[in-house]
This record gives sequence, structure tokens and C-alpha cells, in this order.
Amino acid sequence: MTSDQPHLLKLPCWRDPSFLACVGFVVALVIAAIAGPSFTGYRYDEMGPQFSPPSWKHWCGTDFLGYDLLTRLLYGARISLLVGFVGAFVSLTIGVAYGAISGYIGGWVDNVLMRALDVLYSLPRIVFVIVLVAALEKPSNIWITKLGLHDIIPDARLLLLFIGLGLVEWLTMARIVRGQVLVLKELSFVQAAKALGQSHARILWQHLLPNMLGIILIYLTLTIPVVILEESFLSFLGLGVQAPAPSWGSILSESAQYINPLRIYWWLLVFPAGFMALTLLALNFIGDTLRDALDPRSQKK
Amino acid sequence: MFTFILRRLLLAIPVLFVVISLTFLLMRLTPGNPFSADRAIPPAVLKKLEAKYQLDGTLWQQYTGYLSDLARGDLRLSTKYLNRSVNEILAQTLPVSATLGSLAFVIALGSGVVLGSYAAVHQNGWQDRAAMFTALLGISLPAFILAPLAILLFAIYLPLFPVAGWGDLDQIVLPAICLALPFAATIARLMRTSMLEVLRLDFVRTARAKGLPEHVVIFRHALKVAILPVVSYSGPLAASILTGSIVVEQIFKIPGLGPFFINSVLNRDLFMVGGTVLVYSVALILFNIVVDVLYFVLDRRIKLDS
Repeated sequence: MTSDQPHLLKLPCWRDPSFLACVGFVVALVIAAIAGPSFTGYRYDEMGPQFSPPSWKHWCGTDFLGYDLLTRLLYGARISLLVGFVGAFVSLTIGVAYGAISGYIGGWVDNVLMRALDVLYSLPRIVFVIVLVAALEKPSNIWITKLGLHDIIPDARLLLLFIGLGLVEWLTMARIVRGQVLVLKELSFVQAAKALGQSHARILWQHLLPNMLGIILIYLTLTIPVVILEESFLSFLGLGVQAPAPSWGSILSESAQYINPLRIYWWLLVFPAGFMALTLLALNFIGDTLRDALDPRSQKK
Repeated sequence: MFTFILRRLLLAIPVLFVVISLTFLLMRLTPGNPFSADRAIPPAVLKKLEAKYQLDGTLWQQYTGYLSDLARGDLRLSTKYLNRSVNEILAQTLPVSATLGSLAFVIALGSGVVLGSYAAVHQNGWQDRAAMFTALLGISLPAFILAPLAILLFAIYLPLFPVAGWGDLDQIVLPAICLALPFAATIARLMRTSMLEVLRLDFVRTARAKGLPEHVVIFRHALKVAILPVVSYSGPLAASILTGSIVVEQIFKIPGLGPFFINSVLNRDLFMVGGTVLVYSVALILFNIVVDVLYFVLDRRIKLDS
């Protein structure tokens, strides 16, 4: 069983300087998010002078409570990246399962599942996440208390975000995987496996999945920025992680409340916006480049 | 065509049924009551309130009662805004959101199509690279990042527009642009890809061979075909503009549906949430039917009834 898709690490884009710069930025951000908050010299809820502009003491200034903005941004990066990766992974699991089943069974099952997907595509999915997170917050806290895990209650929202965002972002993945399965299942090595009497699950897992790994990984990288964006959107609305723990969305929404013509605290907006925009730009660029490199249609220019 | 629209409308009924059932059960089955978020209400008062809002009886009775009210177009009373019906709140706020949303939609569509076509015509030139970098940047700058920055730049440093508010013409410009730009970026990318494909087709070569000027070839001939993927994207686009407007309305203090929806979710205002989710879903389903009909009108090769 061979795959005619080139290996991800051998693609020509690894010699493209802007691609490498984006990968470098993301790696640096991950390291800064993990290690950074302990090196800035402040805790994310340690109060200092309020509204002090960027200086050697506070590189990105301090906010309305005197929290060090850089520390909070790095801590927020931790949360955003975590939600992005885990949420994208949840969506990958659902999308691959749905798409593979739909494409593999085919016939009317495929038809029904794909129509359902069309309907889901056209609904305001994030609205359901809002309702889901708000409605399930109390019960999830109660269940966690029953399980004797009081300590993780502040992080319970994170769990809800992983699931909620994973639940809405699997649609594109399902479509892509279904398309791939439809093509792959007609190929001779799959027919041979069938003739040998291998079970359907085994064929899907051992023959189809490895051949789709490249495209699945690419759509995973494209899903991560989308999930990060949605997490910040929810945090902006006060439905994300709970204060005083910071997330990019909640930092931005706090800063937006202090916009006034009399006193301009530009650093409160520019740094969070810059951090988020650069991160999303880098992730989107990586995903785009990989997709273009693997998609034969975009190569015939 | 008529049977197609009818079938789509009939198909929408089970979808709306599922949407409303999920919302109702999710809100009603989870702990917490729709009258007060944090304070415990004395049992006697709670009983009276439940009777007033038709939330007494078994869950099944509450659910079927709500469904039959909805079927008659009665979205019931808000449990948070005293004595105001959901219909009334929607009638006040929905036109505001719809105005903002449709203006943003037009801006996104117009600028996206122009930018994408421009990039495609100059494929691989510096104009193409610049346009596509702008588009990538646009995708990475959602409305809730753009809006505070835009206020800082264009309302405070350069006082061109008011900081917030609603009612005057100049108050709608900044929010509509902030809401539109990320989607304009997505459309530009779609448009570029599709325009590149269309420009390779035979009928474009024929048009050029006839000696038509380039702008006529592109805007009269190629655009008609190349815009089809953008048309089919406008369904999901409308959905995103709708949710995007929730934050934009909050930042610019616009009295639309968005802030009401967020407050009602946080307050567990059962019927307000149900009504808003229903209205959002109905609007999008209708919009998608319009898009599909439009697709048919633009591309005669598609047969709706097949």
C-alpha cells in the first residue's frame, strides 16, 4: 500500500522563507506561552500601578487593575492555543468519523448525511455554542463537584469550550474526508482488502485513514485559527474562560471598555490585537501554504 | 422552480423543530431558573411565576404548550424584561440588526468581488500578492479586533466618525465596515480562485478573439460565471455576519438584537433565547433558499428539480 501524496516534511514550502518565518513564530509563541509567564516577573493577577504605559518595567504596560499586560497576554496565549489545538482535534475526530462513514457506506446513507451537513452549514452554529456553554455551565460544575474534583472548577469552562467549539467546526473536515473516501474506496488495494475478507473497520483504519493523513493534517492546521478566533469571540462576550484568568478575547473586551477621547490607553488595544492578528496570520498562512502544496488543482497555474 | 421552493420550505420545518426543541430542552433541563440568575426564589413565588409564564406542569406539557404557541406566531413573554413580549423586543431590535447586517453584506460582497477579480487579472504580479496578503490579513482580523482599533484610529485620533451610537448615517459607516472586512477577505480569495479558472475557459478566449476590450471580457463575460462560488458562499456568509454583528453591536453600543441575545443567554431568559434562535434560523433558511434560486437564475446548467 503506497501513497502517491508527497510526504508533508518533504514539500517544497519548507524552503520558502515566509513559510519558515510563520512556523518559527508559532513555535516561538508556543514556547513563550508555556515558559514566558514565569519569566516576566509578575503573576497574571498581581496588581501594580494602573494604566502605566509600556516601559522597561512593564514591556506592554499595565491595565486598569494594574495587571502586567505582557504576562496576561502570554497567559492568554496559553489558553487560546490550548483551546485551538484541543478544539480542532475534537472537530477532527467528529469530522473524520462522519465523513468516512458517509463516504464508505455511500448510497442513501451518504445522501441523508450530506443533506444534514448542508443544513448545519447554513445555521448560526456559534449561536448554539453560546446557548450550550451558558446552559451547561452549572450542571458541569455540579458533576465535577460530585466527582470530587473541586480544584478544576475554574477550568470547567475550558472543557465546555473544547467540546462546544469542536462540535461546530467539523463540517468542512467531514466533507473533505468523505470526498477522499469516495475516491479511495474504488482503488484496487481497497478492493483487494475487501476480497480478502477484512472487516470494514479494519479497511477504514488501516487502508483508508493512512492515505488521508496528509489532507486531514492540513485541514487540522486550517481549523486551529478558526477555533482560536471563536474562543476569543466567546471570551469577548464573557462566555469564555473566567476572570481573573485572562484570554485574548477577554483582554480585548476589557480594553475596549476603556476607549475614551480624554485619555488614550493605546497599548491596551494595540498589543492584544497585534498578538492575536500575528498568531492568526501565521497559522492561516501555514495552513494555506500546505494546502496549496498538496492540492494538485492549485499547482497548474 | 415553484416545487423546489415549496420543498425547501417544507424541509425547513423539521430543521426548525429540532432547533427549537434542542434550545428549549437545553435551557429547561439544566439547573437554574429563568427568573433569577443567582438569588433563590421562595417556592410560593416561583410557583406563581411559573404559572404566569406557562412553565408549570410536566416538562412535556410545557414543551408542547410552547410549540403550539410558536406555531401561532406567539413567542411569549420575556422572563427577564418585565411584561415585554419577545415579539415586541424583536420588532424593535431586528430592523436595526438587519440594516447593519445588509449594509455589511453589500460592502463585503462588493469589495471582495472587486479585489478578487483584480488579483486574478494580475495573477502572480505584485498587485496579486498585495491583494492576497491584504485578504489573508483580513481573515486574521475579526470584527472584534478591528472595531476597537477602528474606533481608536477613526473616531478618537482622527475624529471622522462618532465613537458609538445609532440613528445617524455617519454612525453606521464604521460598524458596517468593521463587520464586512473579514468577509470581504474571504470572498476576495474565493473570487480570485474562481476567476483564474474561468479566465482559462474557451468562451473567454472567444470573447478576446472577437477583439472585445479586456474590461468587457472580464466584467461582462467572465464575472457572470466566476461569481457562482461567491453566490453559494453567501449563505454561510450571512450566518457569520449575523453572529459577527453581536460583538459589533456591543462595541458600538448599537441597539440591535445581538446584545439582547447575549444578555438573555446569560440571564437564562428562556423565551427570549428561544425566540432569537428561532428568528436567526428562519432568517438564514429563507436566505439560503433565495441564494439557491439566485444560483439557478445565474447558472442555467443547474436543474433545481433533479
